[in-house]
Amino acid sequence: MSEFVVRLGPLSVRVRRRAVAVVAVLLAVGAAVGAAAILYGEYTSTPAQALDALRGRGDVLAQVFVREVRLPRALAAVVVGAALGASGAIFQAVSGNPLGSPDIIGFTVGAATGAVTTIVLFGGTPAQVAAGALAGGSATAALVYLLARRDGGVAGPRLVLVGVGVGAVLSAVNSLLLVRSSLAAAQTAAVWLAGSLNAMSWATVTVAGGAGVLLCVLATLLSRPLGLLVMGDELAGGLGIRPQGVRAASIGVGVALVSLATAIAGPIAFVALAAPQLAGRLTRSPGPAVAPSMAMGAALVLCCDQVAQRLFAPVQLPVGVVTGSLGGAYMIWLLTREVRQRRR
Amino acid sequence: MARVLAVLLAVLAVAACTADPDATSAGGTRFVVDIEGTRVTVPERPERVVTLSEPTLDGALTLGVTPVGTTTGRGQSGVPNYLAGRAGGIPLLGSVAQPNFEAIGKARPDLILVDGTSINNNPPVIALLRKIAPTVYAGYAGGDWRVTFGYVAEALNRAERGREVLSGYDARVSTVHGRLGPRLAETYSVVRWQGSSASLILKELPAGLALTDLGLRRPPGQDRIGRGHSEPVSLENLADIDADWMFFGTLGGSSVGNPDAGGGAGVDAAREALAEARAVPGFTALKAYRGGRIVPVDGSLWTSTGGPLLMNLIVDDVERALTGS
Repeated sequence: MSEFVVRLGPLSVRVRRRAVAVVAVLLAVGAAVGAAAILYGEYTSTPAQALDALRGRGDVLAQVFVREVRLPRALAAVVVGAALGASGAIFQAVSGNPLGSPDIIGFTVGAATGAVTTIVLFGGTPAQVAAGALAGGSATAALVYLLARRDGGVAGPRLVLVGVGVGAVLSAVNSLLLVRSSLAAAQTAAVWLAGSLNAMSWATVTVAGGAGVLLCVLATLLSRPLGLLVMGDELAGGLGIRPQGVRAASIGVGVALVSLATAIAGPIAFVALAAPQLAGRLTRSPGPAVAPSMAMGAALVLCCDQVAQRLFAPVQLPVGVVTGSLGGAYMIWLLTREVRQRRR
Repeated sequence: MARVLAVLLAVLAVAACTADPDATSAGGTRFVVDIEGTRVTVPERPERVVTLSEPTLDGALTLGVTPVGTTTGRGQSGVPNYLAGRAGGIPLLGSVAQPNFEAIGKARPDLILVDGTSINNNPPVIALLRKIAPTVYAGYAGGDWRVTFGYVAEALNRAERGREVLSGYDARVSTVHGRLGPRLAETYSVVRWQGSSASLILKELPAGLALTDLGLRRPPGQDRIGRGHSEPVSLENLADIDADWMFFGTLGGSSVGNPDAGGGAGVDAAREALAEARAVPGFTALKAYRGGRIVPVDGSLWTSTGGPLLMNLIVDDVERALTGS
């Protein structure tokens, strides 16, 4: 039997064994990398020292680094990765297109426009910039949704095309804002735009983590009705779901997820695109693999952030540079593979 | 004016603090007030100074303090190119705007100097730095280099020496100005060349300030205050970069967001960039090009930011180019 049903009060979820195994493996990888992120660092010489610091003993500065720098940074990586993975899975399912990820259809760019506007025009603090990103992402999504709407609903390819167009316009707006800004603002914006987890505070992680968990639960609950939409609206309607309602709710949750991730860390490229595809390949799932995508996203961002911190140490790269480079390579591989398959 | 007032207030505040008996009895520490008005307890004789920006590194070196750690220069993979000789051996603790906190902690600093050209409007980062060591925020991005240097000198307890450095610069500027003679009637452009495009260094940036100090005029398109960073020129407006003379530098292909795009910042890199620029339509028609008056310069010196060392080296470059010595 490759499936079983988990019941929790009135809720029941049908779960595939392979998906469970994939999630378990990804969680294990994430936990191992997370442990390494917390136990190994430049300041502490041994994992034992880091462990002491974690328990509030020993060198005061080591305690600061382990408890107030490494721990929130690792948790932020998990939240950001899971949110991006889930949001990618949702959008790819809604648009029925493997390229329908929020970074490609303009939502991430829109969140960036919100953040850059806050930085350039209002000189905002990090918290205000995060609020700007949330507002920008949501407004862009609303705009794309309205423009892509037709006959009371949204069709996948239209959503992707309108999103790409809006994204291109906003990306030009972002460049314009940067060129017209002061040095200080341009520099803050450039750092933010690279996507970085440097200097994560507990305050950020607690608030974002709470919102992230809530949204991820919603995303998981939406994964089954979303999967049914793949069969076509009529059939899905026959099975008792309202296709346009599910689509609208999914877009809402997906936008909230990607805006949240962008608000925390800036635009971290390609995770939302790659995580669901990698997860889908591993689970061989026919529908949207929301939970495995979350686990994949979290593991990816954790790993990439470790690479970003250690590759050229002591100089650290923004994590977005690493995910962007890896994602770019993945994209090229995906496209060339598709071209080759078509030739055959 | 507000800044000058702020400096005066800070100086008064510092004077008031040092008159305070508490300050002298605090066991080798004293108080300074940084540019944001924060009262910082700093060692009387800092021994392990970390600088996290180009202006603070330049300022510390000017005052004879060699930091135990610093960050890479803007768009460069090491210390700013123009400081390579003086600061090449200083360990790197991250890059401008992306300091590596643990590496900073490991350097065991007793004083951290930073300014807005590196950490801008980011209270959490400053709060974290202050857990590592006393941190003095010495200036705002795009602020007056003299003011930033003043705060650096105060933090390092070398304010007197700092004033001498500034008056030394003023004296040097007036000497060079006296030697320029007919050159003062000509116009001077400062250009940063990146890839296949140009940007202008306007009058508010260090190189622009040095030219103004020397009494050198800019061409009409550059005779203004910019926004604190180089201003891109589209190729159809290439004539905007022209003047009787052109100081021509590059930072390679890199930028803050992409520091590893490669390419150097030195005079040789500027020569290479100049060779590439010739291929751009219209470049060889420029007055400065036809007159052979394009001067390749170190981009880290002419098109970035720094302190007194940077300003003096720019004045040296101008003197060499325009008087031949």
